[in-house]
Parts: sequence; structure tokens; C-alpha cells
Amino acid sequence: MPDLAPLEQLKLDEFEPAVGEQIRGAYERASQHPRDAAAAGKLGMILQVYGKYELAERCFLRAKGLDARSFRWTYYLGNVEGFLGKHPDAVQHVREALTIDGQYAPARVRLAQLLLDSGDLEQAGQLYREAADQNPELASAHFGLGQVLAAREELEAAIESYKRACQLAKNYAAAHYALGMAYRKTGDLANARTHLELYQRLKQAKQPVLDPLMEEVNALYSGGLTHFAKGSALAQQGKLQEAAAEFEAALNVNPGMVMAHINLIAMCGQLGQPEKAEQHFRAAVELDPGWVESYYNWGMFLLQKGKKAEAAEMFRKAVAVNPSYPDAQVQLGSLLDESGRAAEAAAHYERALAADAGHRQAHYLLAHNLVRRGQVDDAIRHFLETIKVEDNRTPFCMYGLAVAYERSGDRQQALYYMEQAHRRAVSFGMRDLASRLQQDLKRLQAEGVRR
Amino acid sequence: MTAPLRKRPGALSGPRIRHRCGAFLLVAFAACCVATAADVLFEDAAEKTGLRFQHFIGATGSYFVPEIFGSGVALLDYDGDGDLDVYFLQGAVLDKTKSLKDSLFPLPKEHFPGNRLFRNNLIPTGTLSFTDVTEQAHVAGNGGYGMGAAVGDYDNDGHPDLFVTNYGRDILYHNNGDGTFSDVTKEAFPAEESFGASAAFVDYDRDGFLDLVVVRYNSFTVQGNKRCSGYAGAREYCGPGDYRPIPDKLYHNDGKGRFTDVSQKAGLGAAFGNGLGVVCADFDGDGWIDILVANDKTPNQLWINHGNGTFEDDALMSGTAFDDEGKAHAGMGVTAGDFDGDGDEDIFIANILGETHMLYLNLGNGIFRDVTKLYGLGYTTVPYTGFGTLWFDYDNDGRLDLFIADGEVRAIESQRGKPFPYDQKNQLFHNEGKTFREVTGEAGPVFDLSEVGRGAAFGDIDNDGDIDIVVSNANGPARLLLNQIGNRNHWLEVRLQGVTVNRDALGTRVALLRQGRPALWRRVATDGSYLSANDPRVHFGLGPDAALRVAPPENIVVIWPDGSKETWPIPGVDRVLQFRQGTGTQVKETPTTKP
Repeated sequence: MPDLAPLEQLKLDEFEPAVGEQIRGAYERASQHPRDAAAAGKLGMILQVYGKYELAERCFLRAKGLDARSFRWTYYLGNVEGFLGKHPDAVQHVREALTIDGQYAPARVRLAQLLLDSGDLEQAGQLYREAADQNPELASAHFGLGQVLAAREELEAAIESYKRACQLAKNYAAAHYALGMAYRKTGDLANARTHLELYQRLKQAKQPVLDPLMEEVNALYSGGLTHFAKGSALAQQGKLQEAAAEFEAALNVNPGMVMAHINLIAMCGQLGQPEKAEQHFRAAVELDPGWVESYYNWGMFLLQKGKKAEAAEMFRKAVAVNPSYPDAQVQLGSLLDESGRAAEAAAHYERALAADAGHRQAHYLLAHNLVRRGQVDDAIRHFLETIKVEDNRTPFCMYGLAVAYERSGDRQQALYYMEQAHRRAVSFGMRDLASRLQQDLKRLQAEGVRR
Repeated sequence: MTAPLRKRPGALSGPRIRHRCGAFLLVAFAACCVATAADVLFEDAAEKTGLRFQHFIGATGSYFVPEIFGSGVALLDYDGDGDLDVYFLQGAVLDKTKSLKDSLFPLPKEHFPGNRLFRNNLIPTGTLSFTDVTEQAHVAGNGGYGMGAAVGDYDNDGHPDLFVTNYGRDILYHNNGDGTFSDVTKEAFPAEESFGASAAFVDYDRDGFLDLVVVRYNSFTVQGNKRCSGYAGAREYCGPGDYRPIPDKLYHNDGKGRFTDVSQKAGLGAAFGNGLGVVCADFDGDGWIDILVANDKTPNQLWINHGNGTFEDDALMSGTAFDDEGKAHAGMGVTAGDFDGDGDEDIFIANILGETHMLYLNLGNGIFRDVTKLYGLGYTTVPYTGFGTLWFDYDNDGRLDLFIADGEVRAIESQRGKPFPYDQKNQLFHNEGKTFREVTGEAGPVFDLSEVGRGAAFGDIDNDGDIDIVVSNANGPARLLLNQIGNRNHWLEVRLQGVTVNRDALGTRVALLRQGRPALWRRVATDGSYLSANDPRVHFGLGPDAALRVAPPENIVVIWPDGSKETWPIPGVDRVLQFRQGTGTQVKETPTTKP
């Protein structure tokens, strides 16, 4: 039976404090109770969640040695061996776990996955079927069966299995991807696109829990990233107060998390807490001056406060740290434009586009800049880039494009885009813009009649 | 099953060159000359042949991202003497406030600093050995951090030119044909400061001049260096998500020696990720060369060439963006080749530890299937982080095998405490038709070495008819893996010369027709692998005597990049054939299973 993982290998002081404490605590418990399989296993689970697979394997081996009939430790051992690429050992231990307790269907799915990994379609297919029979609601069993069928070129049957998986677990991104690709191979492009689009949308969402026992391992994660991820999701939903609380919690766990400080600059700024925003900016830069995002977020805060000169200075710092950060280039360009330094501004927009050729705001601002400087042909090229996306910014982009065409003497195109912009402004309920467009349209039409 | 190795009698005589007038020029080289152990597949001959290059990562403790990506290596016959010379890219201290003495690791004792060109002395001496000719050739670099290299004759003057990607400003070297190169970047190439990775010469618009595609990693800067940590908090090199990716570049060659950035016009700005690998091939079989970019933890791009100067990313719909579960892998090295002998280009991408590498099977129309697990490359590749890789037929049995240069990018737990805890063993896979069998353990003691493999270049360095490998190890010595399979099986190598198409004939498809057997399809290419450039000769393994008796090779059919087809008879095996465009017999149909 192996010893516990040698803790000195881990250099716990390099870890986030909370993580170090968590590992140390579990290790001490396992050391104090050397015959306690659960203590060794728990340490293995904790080490696994931080990606320390080799050490976790030793702990699970020890736990299994102490309690040979434990399904849990045998199963975890097989899983971690799978992560380590020790395929025969992984197959053996997951199979053994199933002989200890055959009731846990996700283990059957895991064994099938391992066999599929080695190209054994026959056994993998059989196990997926057994798991689906055992638990018809288990989406992963249907998904796996779909994979086996697709590998056998039985695409129609694979589609049915994937569909079932999608029905059972609504956010199952992998199943939608596989379904989309299966449709693609049958030539059904419409369905392929539908499911690939769904996949693109769902892959950011929380995925269904397909293996509760493995989820117990994941749940042991105590680093700051959990709070950070929650905070990011809340911020996206516009729940700024709650988001800020999560970022603060992340910092409590890991005071060195620069990303949390950076997001708090933005959160506190929007929540009307300028002092706190500044504190987080200073903390972020002190921890690591390499993060361009610190300068950018603080610059945006200053801009919102109307402190344009200070904001420009901050964007300058940002682009000095990272010239390929397009948002900072755009903001700096915009401030230069406002102060009448159009040529300098254009250079910053160009740099933003060099870093991200599709940066819509850079195209838009550069196009306006070029119109003002009389370079309407180039302006038209950039405006055309902005209308590739259809959203509530599109009417503005089309308006700009129409004006550029008008300046270039192409009345026909000017009229066309003015009409398109007007139609969209009306449909978005943008009354002011629609009314301005209406006036310009009349003017353009009248000029046409006069000619 | 590996048969016992033996050298063909008489193969050790000096190199002979026979010329024939007329339709083709036939060049036969004898095997050379390094004493070999008869029971290994590959032997490391770097030290004894004088190919003593030590890579320097330039680490000073700041964990600058380029340090962990290592550098590449290029094979090119720069002096036109008929053997492959070796060009290594070299790292540097990135922090300009520090100097070499601040390096965490000892400096290389020789052949340092800067990139290094080693001339192969096989021809005319008859002995494989190398001489560092960097200074004479003027190719040491520009002080940037050497990343990758591409090789191609961009001005069609018959001398291979060299393009170098840097963390810094890239370099275009023009081969002057007299053993020297000129840095023509300033006048010919719109270089900019960036984090360049792999590059490839490709004539995407079929105008007869090689253009250039340059893949770029991300927006890391020394000033903007972040302190990154692993999942648990310990310091690591930053990952792909820590800096914004930057778009890849396509440069058009105007035929007068000048390159123009056409990335935006061509559509390449529409999608991008953390690019590391690139390979150019006609993936959808429409006759136009497409571009596949392997991205690190972001979806790959498959740029389908519309034939009008524009490209569209079809990776998602073609099935090459992700694995079969829709996950973006950490794409590093990439290679395209017809591993299953059905006439189309299949793709292999090396990925990171914890996920499988990717094998994408081309269904014949540019739609791909992830068959990684089905072909035995699933669990066998999970424990490795792969970089340099190529489809190549190491045992001359007619099937394309795989080599992968491995080395981690995150500290390996069991190696913590070591100064550079990222080393792994390289892998070799044998293509057995329906599966790949790992033969690493049978490949020789050099495969027992655990190092931090990065760039890998493939070619017949000793002109003995099998494919050798040069591996560039990050922070370690380069290895020359001399293939000892020798003449156990028969072979043919084909060197093409374009006349109306690009002179190197890059992108040309070559079929070897055999009686009663499907054709063997190969592509003229120097691209693929990771940060590296390969032998432009096309190599065919033909199997043992018995295979020749059953299915004797008859003709070589060439489909040039402009779509024209020519054929030449095969006068014999175990030799290098050279064909010049226009000297063969024109054919309309491709007389084989599937073009």
C-alpha cells in the first residue's frame, strides 16, 4: 500500500492560502488516522481537484488498500488513472468498481468512455446501452451511444441518440455539437446549423451534472476562482452588487487575485464607489503592473467621471503595456479625436484594427474620422465593416455610411443606406434617430428631383 | 511486427550522381556513412556529426510566455549541393533591462548566440557531418527571440529562401545562391513587432510565386507580463487565455520580390485564435490550396480558398474546429497527409497533456470526422503535450506514420524541484492500416530520453532513402534522430521543379501508381509540424521485395498547383527522381482510385 502523497513536494506556500490550508488540513487528518480510508480518499479528492493527479492516485490507492470493497475509492482511482493516461489501469479499476456496485450508471458510462478511447466500439456500445437501460434519463449514456453509432457510420441512429441526450439535458453543449456534426454529414445543413448555433450558445452555460460522484470532487474546490466565476456571471446579468460581493469573496480567499481587483474597479465605478474603485486599481497595479486591464478599467472609470485628460493618460499607460489591446487604443483614439488631433487618433484606431481586424467600434470611429478628413472612400470601406453585424448599432453605422456615400457623390447608395438605416431605426423604436434620418432622406430625395 | 534490420549490400559506397538527358533527371544517392547499431529504428547522431546546438530559453525568472514555447528548426539545401542543411532558431533574454548573465540557466558553450545554420558535409565528403556556417551565411537573426522558420524559393531563382518568425520583428532572408543570405525584410516585407509562431510559404493565388502565411500567438508583451498561476495558485507560465489572441497574417508576393499584407482583404481577419501551427493543403479537393491553423485552446481555423483571393473559415462546419464533443483543444503542431490512402488530406494536431491529440479523417469533400480514439490515438496521447509532428513513413512500408516531439508547458508535479520541470518522452506511432500502434519503446534509446521537445523537422538528411528527424528541445540540446531503417524496404524520393508554377512546386500533389494497388498520394510541402520546415522532396516507402513483385510501381503522376497533370514512368526504385514541369507526358484524367 503506498504512503500518502509526500506533502513536501507540493510547496504549499506557493498555493492560494485557502487552498494550502485545505490541503494541509486533509493531509494532517489522513496522517493522524493512517487506517482511515476516507481520510486518505478525501485527500486524494482534494488533490485531484487541483490537478495533482499523480498525488491523488497515490491517495486513492491507499484508500482502496484500506477499504478494498469501497466503490467510491476504486472508482475515483480509475478516473484519476484515466486522466493520467494509464488506460489499462483505469479500465481495470472502473470495471472493478462496477463489480463492487453495479447500480451507479455513470460508472458504466465512464467505463464505456474509456473503452471508446481505445477504439473498442463493440464493448463501449454495449455498456452505453446497459447504462441507458439502467437509467433511461442518463443523457451521457445516450450521448455516448450516439458517438459509437456515429463511429460506425450509422448516422440516422446516432442522430436519434444525440437528440435523446439533448432532450434529457437541455444545456448539453457537447450533445448539440455532435448532433450538428451528424446532421452535417448527412447533408442536412439547416439542422446542422441550428444545433451548431445552439452549441455555440450553450457551451458558455453551466453544463449538466452527468456524474454526481465526480461532481463531489469538483465541489471541493476552494480557490478564489469559484467566487470569481460566480461574480463574472452575475456581472453579465447586471447584478452588480452581488457580483462585487463575489469578487470581494474571491479576494478574501486569494488576496493576490489581480483579476478580481480589476473587475472590482469596474463594479465599484458603476456602483458609485469611487474611493473603492481607486483602491482596487492601486491594489491591482501594486500586485502586478503587467495587467493592461487594470489601466483600461481605471481609464474607463475616469472617463465616466468626465476626467478626460486623466483617462487619456491611463489609456496611454495601457497601450504602452500592451499595444495590442484594441479597446484601449480605441478609447485613446476617441479622446484624441475629441481634442482635434485627428491624425493621431486615426493611428490608434489603426492599431486597434491591427490587433483585431473585426473591432467594430474601431472601424466606426475611424470611418467618422476619415469622413471628417475628407477621405470618404476609405471611410466607406470601414463603415461597410460595421454593418456586417445586425443589432441596434446598425442604424447608426448605416447612417454614417449613407453620409459617406453622399460626400463621395454616390447619391444612389446614400439614399439606399439612408432608407435602410431609417427602417431599422423605426423598428428599434429609435425616434430621434428615425426623425433625423427622415429629414435627411427628404433632403436627399428633394436634391434628386432638383437635379 | 518489426522485421530485423539490415543494410542492403553495396549501399555503403560513396554518393553517385547519374544524369540523364530528356524527360527526367535521375539522381541516385547511396546510403551514407554514420556507423549504426543494427537493432534500433532511430539513433541520435547530433553529437557525433557536429550538430551541436543547445537551445537557450533566456529565462530570467519572469516567466515570459515565449520562453516556454521553444523554437523551431528548418531543413533546407541552402547551398544546392544535394543534401539538407539545418537551421536552428534560438531564444534570447527578453527583458532588455537584463543581460545574458542574468539567465537562470547556463549559456550554451558553443554555437551561440543567435540562430544557427549548419552546413551538411555529406556531399561532397560522403560523410554526414555538420559545420556551423552562420556567420558566413549572415543568418544569425536580428536579436529577436527566434521562434519559427519557413522555407521556400519566393523569387523562383532556384535557391531556397528563409523566413524567420520572432517574438519581435520577423525576418525575410533572400538566398543569394553563393552560400550567403541577405536580410531583405526592410525592402521586401512589411514586418511588425509581434509574437510570430509557425509560418508557411504557399502560392494561394496560383500566380507562380510563393506567398506567405504567418500564424501568430497572442498579444503578450514584456511590459505587460502577467503573474499567472496554476489552478491551485502556484506560479506557472501564462496560458492562452491570459492575453488576447492576435490575427494571423497573409502576405502576397508580387513576383518582384515584395510582399504585401493582404490578410484583411483575403478575409483572414474574420476569425483568429492563439495560433501555433499551420499547414497548407487542398482540403476540400477543389484544386485550390487551403490553410489550416492550429490554435491553442481556441477553435482551429480552416481557411477555405475561394480561388478569388479570399478565404472563409469553415472549421466549424467541416468538423476541424473542435473535438467530437465540441471542445477546443490546445493545438500546437499540425500535419496534413493521406494516412489512409484514399487520396485526400487528413489532419493530425498535437495537443496538451490531459486531452488527446486530434486525428481528423477527411471524408473526401472537406468534411472531417474526429477518429482519434478509433485509430488508437486516444488514451495513448493523453499523458503528453505534443509539439513538432509530421505524417511520414519512417519504415518505408508505404503508410504514413507519426512522430510527436513532446514536452509540457506547465510544471509536471513529479518534476517539481527540477530547474525546468517540463520534460517528457517523444512518441512514435506506426500506421497499421486501421490503427496506430505506439512503437516508442521499440524505437531506440534516443526515445528513452525525456526532454522538452518543441520544433521538429523531417527529411532524408543522410540521403539513404528514409526520413530522419531533427528535434529542437527547449532549454536543451538538439537531437538528430537518424533513421536506421535504411534499405530494409524500398523507396523513392521525388524532387519537382516548377516552371509556370512556383519553382519549388509547393502544393503539388504527387501520386505513385502501382499495379493492382491504390496509388500512394503525397504533397510537396515544407510546412507542417511546429515552428519548423521540412524536406521538400516527396518520399514514398515501397515495402520489401515481395511488395514490389506483387505491386510494382509504374508511374509518377503529378498534379501541379495550376491543375495541369503530367506523368513519368518510374525507371527503378531506391533513388531520387527529379522532374521538371513540362518534361513529362500530359494527362487529362488521373489514372488512379481517387485524386
